Amino acid sequence: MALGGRPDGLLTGPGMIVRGSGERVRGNRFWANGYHGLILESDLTGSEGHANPSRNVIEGNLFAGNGGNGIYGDGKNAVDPSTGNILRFNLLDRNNQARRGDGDGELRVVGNLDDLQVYNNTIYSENANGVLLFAPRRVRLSNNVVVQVGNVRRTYPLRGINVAAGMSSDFNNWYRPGPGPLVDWNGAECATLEEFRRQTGQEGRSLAVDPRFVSLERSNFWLRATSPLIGWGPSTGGMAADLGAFPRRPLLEVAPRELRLVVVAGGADPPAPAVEVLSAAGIPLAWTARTSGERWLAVATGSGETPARLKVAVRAAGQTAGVYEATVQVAPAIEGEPALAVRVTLTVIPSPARRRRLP
Amino acid sequence: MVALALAGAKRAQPPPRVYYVSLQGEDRQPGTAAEPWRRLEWAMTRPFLRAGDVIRVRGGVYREALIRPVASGEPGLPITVLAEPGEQVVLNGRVPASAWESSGSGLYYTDYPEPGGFPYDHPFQVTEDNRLLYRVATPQALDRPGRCFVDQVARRIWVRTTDGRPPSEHVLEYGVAVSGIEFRSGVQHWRLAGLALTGFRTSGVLLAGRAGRIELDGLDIGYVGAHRPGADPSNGWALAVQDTSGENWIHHSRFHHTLAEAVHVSQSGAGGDLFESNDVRQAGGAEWLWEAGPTVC
Repeated sequence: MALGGRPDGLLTGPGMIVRGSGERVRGNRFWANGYHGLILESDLTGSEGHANPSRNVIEGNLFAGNGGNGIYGDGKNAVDPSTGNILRFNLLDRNNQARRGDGDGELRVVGNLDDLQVYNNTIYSENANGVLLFAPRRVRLSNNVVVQVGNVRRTYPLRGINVAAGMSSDFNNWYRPGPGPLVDWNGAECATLEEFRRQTGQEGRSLAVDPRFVSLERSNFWLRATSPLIGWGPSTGGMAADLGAFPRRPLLEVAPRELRLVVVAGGADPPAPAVEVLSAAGIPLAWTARTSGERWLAVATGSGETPARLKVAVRAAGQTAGVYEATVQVAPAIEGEPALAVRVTLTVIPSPARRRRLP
Repeated sequence: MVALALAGAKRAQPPPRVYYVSLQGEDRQPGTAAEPWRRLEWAMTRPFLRAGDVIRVRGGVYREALIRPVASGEPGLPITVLAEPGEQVVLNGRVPASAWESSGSGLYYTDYPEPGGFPYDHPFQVTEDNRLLYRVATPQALDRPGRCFVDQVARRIWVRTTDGRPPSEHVLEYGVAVSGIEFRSGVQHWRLAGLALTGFRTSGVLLAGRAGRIELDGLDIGYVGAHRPGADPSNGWALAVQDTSGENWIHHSRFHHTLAEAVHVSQSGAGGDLFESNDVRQAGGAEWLWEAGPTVC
């Protein structure tokens, strides 16, 4: 049992401990637990016997606001290492609420977790290191986005202690918006990624840029369309080419995407149909709408916030018989985000009286 | 061999049955909708349950513990325990504490019966309005509101309520049972849906003893754990998965307010379990304990 963590001495527990093998932990929310969000743990002396958790897949989970680390992988120094565990597509957001300091990380990996794959995770840290590796074995880091915004002394986006050969790390984004070194590696600080590359040969194709999240205020870590991390990484072996836990997709959902209206020439305008404007990102989003400029087409409002019903008005007066096409463009109110088009087809048929006069 | 196989294939599978449990029922009844059983424990431990059977549970607080099913379902035909849609079914391991006496100075006490032996225990958690009172090691430490002391020799619970009012103006309960539901002894293929469990010492649901292929769907398990003054908290898991035959599916459930990790998965299981779309929060007691202070007084 894992205990401890609160500085006031209150003994606390983590959200989940995994000592088994072949387990899948997917799409869960671990939040506000007193200790770590999840512990992947070897156990050498526990009452349940010898444990080398292997082949576990921890994916697509949220770890937020926990007292300890988001994920704590503890291989200890087992003679038989834990092997083949995978951490992917997880969001670790401002954990370590009760454990501020340089000895912790949003993701902390210690000891004998051999062949641990860590890819496509998004990590946002205020109180500790982004990723802390302590005497790791063969850890492979790729396609991760790590942002460290705190000013806790000696914390970094990446910190390695007693790191020996065998680790590989590339195609990640290590970002620190404020001043301070980017990496601490075996006690040597590296101000830039280039310096770290020269020292270790790691991170040859990694970045150190603002990932351009959709909304930090609303804890949305999707990538904006203008993010330099889109398509940056490799997409082999289950990895997504977009760095981080959230492969790029449109922020809005608009339905229907096509409106077909039929009116009689000289008759009344049709009732204004509505288009649903929803956020795909899980948070309310401001949007703007405009037409392609045809005078027979209008939108009831030029902007709003999701969820919304956007009324589309057709003014057919003056339109002669025929088929007219136009679009309504709906876009998130975020610079650079592409618009979604709703295709509008207006068919004006001749009035019966006029048709009778036709030969 | 072929004839045997054909004979087996032709053997008619009896249709699954639906049983009912209600606080208004009686265990000696047949368990029908009109004449339901009373206890969840009675229903889930009937040896004649078979694959595909469904136990429908009406809403209410069932003060029971240590339910250990014995029958097994089959692949694709689990034995299902289902809270009636729209009704809240709570399996509460705690006992209401009543007959409080005042000893003056805002202190109250009540006596509790001799525990029946393991897995029942002396009171390990005392709650006021579903919040854990801070359990102290000596009567002298009952000097602040929201504290309790369990005198195991005299079998007496002492409390100082959080607001100084008499216990009769609150809901006070104490927990005595180790766990809620335990799947053991190789039991396979069960599905629990929509139940809430609260007030146990070690685990709300335990999967152990080579049991496996258990589905937990939409459960709410919380307020589990023992608060032991002067020592580390004992374990207190909403869900423990130990020594199972694997392939358990735990999904869309809530695990919260535990003294140890909310979900404990030991190395002794066969693996292949799927934990999916659950909400795991507030393990460690910080939000649950009335008093967030040092454990040792």
